[in-house]
Amino acid sequence: MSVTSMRVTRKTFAVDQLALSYVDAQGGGMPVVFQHGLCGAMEQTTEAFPQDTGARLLTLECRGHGQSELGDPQALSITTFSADVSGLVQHLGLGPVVMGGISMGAAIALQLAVQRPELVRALIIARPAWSYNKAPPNMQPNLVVGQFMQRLPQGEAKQAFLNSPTAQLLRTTSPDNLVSLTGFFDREPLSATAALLKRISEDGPAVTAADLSKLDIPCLVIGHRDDVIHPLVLAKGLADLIPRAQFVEITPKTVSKALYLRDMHHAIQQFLKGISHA
Amino acid sequence: MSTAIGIAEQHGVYLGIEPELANVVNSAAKARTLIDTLQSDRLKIILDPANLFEVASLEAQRSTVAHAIDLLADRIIMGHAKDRHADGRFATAGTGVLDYPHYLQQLQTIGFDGSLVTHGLSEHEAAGVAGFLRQTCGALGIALEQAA
Repeated sequence: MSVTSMRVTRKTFAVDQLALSYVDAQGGGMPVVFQHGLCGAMEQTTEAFPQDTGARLLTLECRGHGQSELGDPQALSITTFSADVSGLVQHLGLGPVVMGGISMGAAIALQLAVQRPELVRALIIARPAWSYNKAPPNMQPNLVVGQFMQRLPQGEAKQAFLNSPTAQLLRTTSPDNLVSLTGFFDREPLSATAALLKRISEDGPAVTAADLSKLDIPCLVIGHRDDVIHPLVLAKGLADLIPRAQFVEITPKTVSKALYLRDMHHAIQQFLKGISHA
Repeated sequence: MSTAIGIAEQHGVYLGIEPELANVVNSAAKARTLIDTLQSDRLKIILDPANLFEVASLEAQRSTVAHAIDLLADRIIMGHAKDRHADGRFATAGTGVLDYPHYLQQLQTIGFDGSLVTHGLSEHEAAGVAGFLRQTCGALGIALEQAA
């Protein structure tokens, strides 16, 4: 279950003269590209992904995330990140692969399934924050955090956010979201995090409902309760829209991190088993 | 907008932008983008929470209001007081679904000390609405200054 017990190799991939870091884990089986969420990194995906599946886990750390360079902040978008991921798949001579991710990673996977179908054989959509709309209201807490970073000096921003109306609400409705958002204030440099939060929260996967309703690949959608940034209703809506999708509800992280990971691992493991036998 | 800002600077007045579903600036996020793009201290915000949702669950309404107040905190110069019926029609302050204690408490949280103005009501309702706002602020421990 822990990162240290997974065999992980970190490598670098160059795009637009930027060094982007990716991890290649667990050896030589079926390739699964599984992307982290906004302001996350490979630790998030290696933790959420099950071990001993025989699959090869690949995660590209998107620009400004983990050990990847930021580049031009104006270029930060779900479309740029998606192009970088498809670039990596082609660079490695892979594809079609199982494409998936958590939150923003799920939005990247949706865009690639629609726009680069030759690269995607199946989808894993974990805790989606986007369906097909730009700037969904559930992403607004991220926008608020970016605004605090932009408006206040580094030493004051975090405490001011913790006292804010948004934080007061999250403390009761979605405490795990509050923990994640508060952690964003510890990322360096704060200006890069502020740019990511502003640009990505107001962005979208650039697909339509009609696009999603035409996807003809196996798809797993995972969601849970008590998470206002990744609403269960949005995950269920996606599963209803994508014809071959199956929906799995897992234990919320706020109830138990261990059960959340156990359920996430089990859902992905079963899905991959179904695909490899197909 | 740049022309309007030039005129506002010339005359030393503020331009109050009121985000409203039916306007071009139809959300707090768009108002923030406008402020960040134009970079003028002449731009201020008139916040009317009843303009930011039509039909919403209590949780969604509270989130919308909290996010708007946080996104625009440094620019809010005036609060508006009206309301929405559960079916989405506008209503007189205090007669609809807007969670007034939440709205006013959050304004206090950010240190708001501007005017609270009610509108969209009949003359005969004015005294009742004033009483409602005074009572709600009083229950929250918010001190009011009477308008001249």
